[in-house]
Amino acid sequence: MRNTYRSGRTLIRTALSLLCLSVLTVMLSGCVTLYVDNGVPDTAAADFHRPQTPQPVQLLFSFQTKGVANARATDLLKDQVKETVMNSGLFSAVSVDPAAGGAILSVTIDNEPITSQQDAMAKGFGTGLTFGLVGSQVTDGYICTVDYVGAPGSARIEKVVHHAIHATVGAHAAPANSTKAPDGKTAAKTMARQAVGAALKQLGDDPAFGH
Amino acid sequence: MIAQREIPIFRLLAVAALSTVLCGCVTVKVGDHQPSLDTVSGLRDSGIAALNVGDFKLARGAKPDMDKGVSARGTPVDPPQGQTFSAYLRNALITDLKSAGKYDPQSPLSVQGELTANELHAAGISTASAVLAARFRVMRGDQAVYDKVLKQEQSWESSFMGAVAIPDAINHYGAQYAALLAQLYADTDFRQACSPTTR
Repeated sequence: MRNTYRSGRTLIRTALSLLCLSVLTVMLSGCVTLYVDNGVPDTAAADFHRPQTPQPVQLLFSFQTKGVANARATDLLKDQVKETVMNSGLFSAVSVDPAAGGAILSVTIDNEPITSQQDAMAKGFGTGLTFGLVGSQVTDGYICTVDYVGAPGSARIEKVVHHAIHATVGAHAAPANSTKAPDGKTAAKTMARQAVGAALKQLGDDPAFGH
Repeated sequence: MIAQREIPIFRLLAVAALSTVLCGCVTVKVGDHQPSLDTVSGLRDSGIAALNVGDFKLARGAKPDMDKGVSARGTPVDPPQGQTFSAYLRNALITDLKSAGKYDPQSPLSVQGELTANELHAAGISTASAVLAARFRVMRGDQAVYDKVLKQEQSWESSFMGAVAIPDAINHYGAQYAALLAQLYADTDFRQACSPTTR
């Protein structure tokens, strides 16, 4: 009887502990807030300098982390990138298969942390020790490179745009000149749409691009 | 709030440890291979004939587990959708060839492969490494016109923090497939064997 009572108490204590741990884990993970930098705004459809006769293009997209292909992030963003390319109106059709005429558009977004790993860890550790009362901020940089080859053997046109996502942890003011994102997925998609749109705007403005 | 106040510091540390362990239990699948501009334009302009892709399997005598999964600090890394890694390599080759307009299931030239090495070492706190190797054969009918083992090795700076090291290891591991295939495409013997005029 006594043993049953003890094991019952142990069970309840364990269950409560696990509940507390879960709550705490959720609370801690909820302390991170993401902001998309306002330095690269969306490009309006009317702002693209479209060629008189847009041509079909083959789209290649790769998301990289410090220069290394990140296949899972590529999967997450590939539809957003394709939609941005289609909406630009620079091309008559966008496909992953070879296009008639042989035009290729390669889009690469490389995530290069602006805040160093050591710095980010130190900041995160400090915030953790104070249970979020002393907040911290880290910034991830994104280098969007758009390469266009109009036909087999023709010269490559390259355009590069730099973007950033800021993350605050704990009690920290919102970074200046940035827009709060509801979640990580939205932040990443917004960054991709804006960066690719800006690079395509530069491509369309280039006299070497099909005008 | 009351619950938080009652949690002593060692239990907080246990949360962190538990979270890390729980995170480690998730199986990660290698993402789809993405062809690069260099690969596509390089293959397209190489002058090789369109190719079929035949069987890709584990090399005879190799450990069967090698084809099923690798591990990054206890996190299992599997091929996508219940495939094997040799099938993943085959699909990556098909993706590249299709993207370059060089894939033809009716071609008399067919590329076959055998996975001979597949390793991911991510346990180190300062460096990690991966090795991927395969024997590639190009068959014209019953005759092998190309037969080579190619090996791709890479090491990179790692971190003692699993949250940094594990995703980094998975990315580097996945990139080995593109790098191994890039070796194949750049091989002048391969290009010669796949020339439309080779008899």
